[in-house]
Amino acid sequence: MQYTLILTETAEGGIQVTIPALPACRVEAATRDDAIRLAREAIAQLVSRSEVVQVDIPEQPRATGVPHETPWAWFGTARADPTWDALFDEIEQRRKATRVAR
Amino acid sequence: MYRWDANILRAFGQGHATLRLYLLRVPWAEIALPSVVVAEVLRGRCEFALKATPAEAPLAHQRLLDTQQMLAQFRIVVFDVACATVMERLRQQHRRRKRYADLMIAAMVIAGQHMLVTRNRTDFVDVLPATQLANWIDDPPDAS
Repeated sequence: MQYTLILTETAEGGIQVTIPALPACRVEAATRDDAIRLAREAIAQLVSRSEVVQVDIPEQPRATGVPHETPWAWFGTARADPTWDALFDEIEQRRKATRVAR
Repeated sequence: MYRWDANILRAFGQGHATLRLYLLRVPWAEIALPSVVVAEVLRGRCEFALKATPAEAPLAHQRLLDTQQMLAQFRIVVFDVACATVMERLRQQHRRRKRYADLMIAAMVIAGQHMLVTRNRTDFVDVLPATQLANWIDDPPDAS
């Protein structure tokens, strides 16, 4: 099995290796060759004492943000807003103007 | 499932007393706005915001935001392909006699086999059966 290694130069001039497939497995060495060798050994060691198990996780329903309870905080909030009535008067007028003619 | 016409949303904003009695009895999860109504309301608010004079604009834009936040409290049912199929049939049956948005809302109620809650029952009485119409403003709920 092949593993991708990311070799990053450290501030001290060494090489740090991270392995995306095994995020818990990290090694550091003074040279590139040593870093690859140590990473290979670390992976082999980890894999030799690990078991791979795959599990199915059912999809979770996506939260919509719509409240489950009646949002009383919004009930009557437009009472003092004259533009609220004007908005719905306009909607009614527009509906009257759109009798089906197609 | 109850679908609200625009006039019921208007009453919600006004805090109408009879509507409140229904809201105490009907679970919020059973109530939704047709996307047609949402479009009408947002169009009105958007036009108000975009055509406002400089003096009116701060209020108009605040109202747009307030309304958008209020609409976010509601489930919204979308006008889908099934609604479009029903709408085509209704247009053939009621050519030149019905208002376009009313037909769209009626099509959504028929396609979803829902109940339309409206104050203008007369606008829908020839397209929806009486069992699919309710008026939560002028008809108080049963005392039971």
